[in-house]
Amino acid sequence: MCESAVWVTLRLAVATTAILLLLGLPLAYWLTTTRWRGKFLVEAVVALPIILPPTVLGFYLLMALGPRSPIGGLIQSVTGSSLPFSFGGILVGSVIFNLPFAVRPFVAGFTAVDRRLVEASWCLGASRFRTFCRVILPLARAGILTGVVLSFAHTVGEFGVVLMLGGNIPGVTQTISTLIYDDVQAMNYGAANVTAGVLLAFSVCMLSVVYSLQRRVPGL
Amino acid sequence: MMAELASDFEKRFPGVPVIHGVMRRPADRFSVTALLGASGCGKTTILRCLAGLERPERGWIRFGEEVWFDAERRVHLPPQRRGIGFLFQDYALFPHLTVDDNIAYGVTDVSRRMRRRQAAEIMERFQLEGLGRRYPRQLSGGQQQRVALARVVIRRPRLLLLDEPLSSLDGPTRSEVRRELRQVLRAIGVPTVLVTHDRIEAITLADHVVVLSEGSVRQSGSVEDVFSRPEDLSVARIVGIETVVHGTVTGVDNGLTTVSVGETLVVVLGAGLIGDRVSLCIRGEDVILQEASKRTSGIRNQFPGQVLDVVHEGTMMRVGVDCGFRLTAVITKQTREELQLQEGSPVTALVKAAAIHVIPRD
Repeated sequence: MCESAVWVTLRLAVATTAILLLLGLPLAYWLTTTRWRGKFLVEAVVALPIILPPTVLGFYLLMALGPRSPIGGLIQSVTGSSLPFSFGGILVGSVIFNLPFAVRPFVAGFTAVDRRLVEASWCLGASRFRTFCRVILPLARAGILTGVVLSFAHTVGEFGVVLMLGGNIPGVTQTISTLIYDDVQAMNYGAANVTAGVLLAFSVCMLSVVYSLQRRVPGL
Repeated sequence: MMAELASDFEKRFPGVPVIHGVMRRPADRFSVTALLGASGCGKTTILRCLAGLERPERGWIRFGEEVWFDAERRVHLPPQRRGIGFLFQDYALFPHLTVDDNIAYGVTDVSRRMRRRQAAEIMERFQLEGLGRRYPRQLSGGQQQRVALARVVIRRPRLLLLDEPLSSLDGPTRSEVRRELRQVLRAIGVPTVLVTHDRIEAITLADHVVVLSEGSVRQSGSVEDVFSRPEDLSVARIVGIETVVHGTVTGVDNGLTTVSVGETLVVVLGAGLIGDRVSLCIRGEDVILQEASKRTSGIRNQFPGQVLDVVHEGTMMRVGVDCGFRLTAVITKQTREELQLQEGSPVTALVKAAAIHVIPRD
């Protein structure tokens, strides 16, 4: 098993999960509390990666981020490098592709928090931010942890978007799952077997964690 | 000018009558106001509007000089800035925090040491010593209520709002806590508005009753006034008790207690101590009217009096009798014709001692 692929995979999974926490928590809280009528549109867009083939998403991202597109051109002129076939590129793809796996458990966690506890906190003088930190986050932690574990594990196993956007460059964008693909293409079944086995064991562990978290009653 | 909690606002929800919160209560001294009505009449919504948890569509809410809400001026103070204490129906204790942390939750502007000292003081006052490290689910209903009150009172609120404060307690605990709660509220000493559907709760806890039906205030006045002189049929149905009077225990003898209500002596069951202040509740159906000259043995309370008024109420008649206090009887048309009752007629009212419900007052 190639160590650089493991390293790229881990970096990608940690970075994706961190970004999803930062972006996903506010987005999920907004989805839980908003009374806006157009909310379903946002929910649909967030859920899209669940049914969309990763190659479709990867293809469009490649088009959007490529140097000839307005967005890609802007990024290149600002940062001096282009996103496709770089670690930054697969990170962007991975964040978008994992949005539902983080946001949907977050929303479930927030929804489970009793509204009256939030109101009780306000009536005790706590600001909305303090209420969020001291009441909502701790009581939604089962859902938040589920979202973190799911998006981490799902990023580790991600294939299509990484291949389309990253191009499978060893040491840069080659992850464990694209390494397996390479090994099989090269008829290197022994190496593919070891890598695939490790990934399988890892996935079983992660899902066990998710289900054990969900079995715990929210709020103790 | 006296500082007042005054409001006149409208809140709409689809499919139910508009809720109209009109109120005028003192804001600078102790008094307990009960919003009384059947479930779904909008009383909790009015309380939530006072707290700032709901925003009315029209009208205004003022507390002393402060404007808490004004639809026209687009003023809506959030609950954090109203200086209120809100006790939720099921107490809404934070399940992930200990009793200590629940109580100290709303104290933020003092040092850690000061905060701990305040919490310790308040826990002693509410008999919660030794429970500080427990979680809410490890407490009894009565203890949970005391924690919820302590958590609110530690912040020295200017107005207490209680939503059905006794409804999540079971029967025996409820009557016990009901008796204590009035004393606790008096000790806290700030104006209080509470919501209840239970008339006994309203009589026990409140000085002033606001009766609500279908979203609107039907009558507002002292407990005695509202229960003894309901202004219309909807109020009469809600209060259900035709006579409520205050008196003082003047004699105790063999299980019977004599209570003087003004000049009139009323015999009731149950022990009390001489000098105790009590409220007597008498339902109209339990009052028998008979000719003034006739005597009936075996009934302890026989009050000679004069008919004040006679009101039709379906097949029944509601007759007010002046027997030192206003006593209302509900009788059939036939009885009225037999006795030929009209305003000014002399009559004797009979009430069994066992039919009088006694509520201690402070």
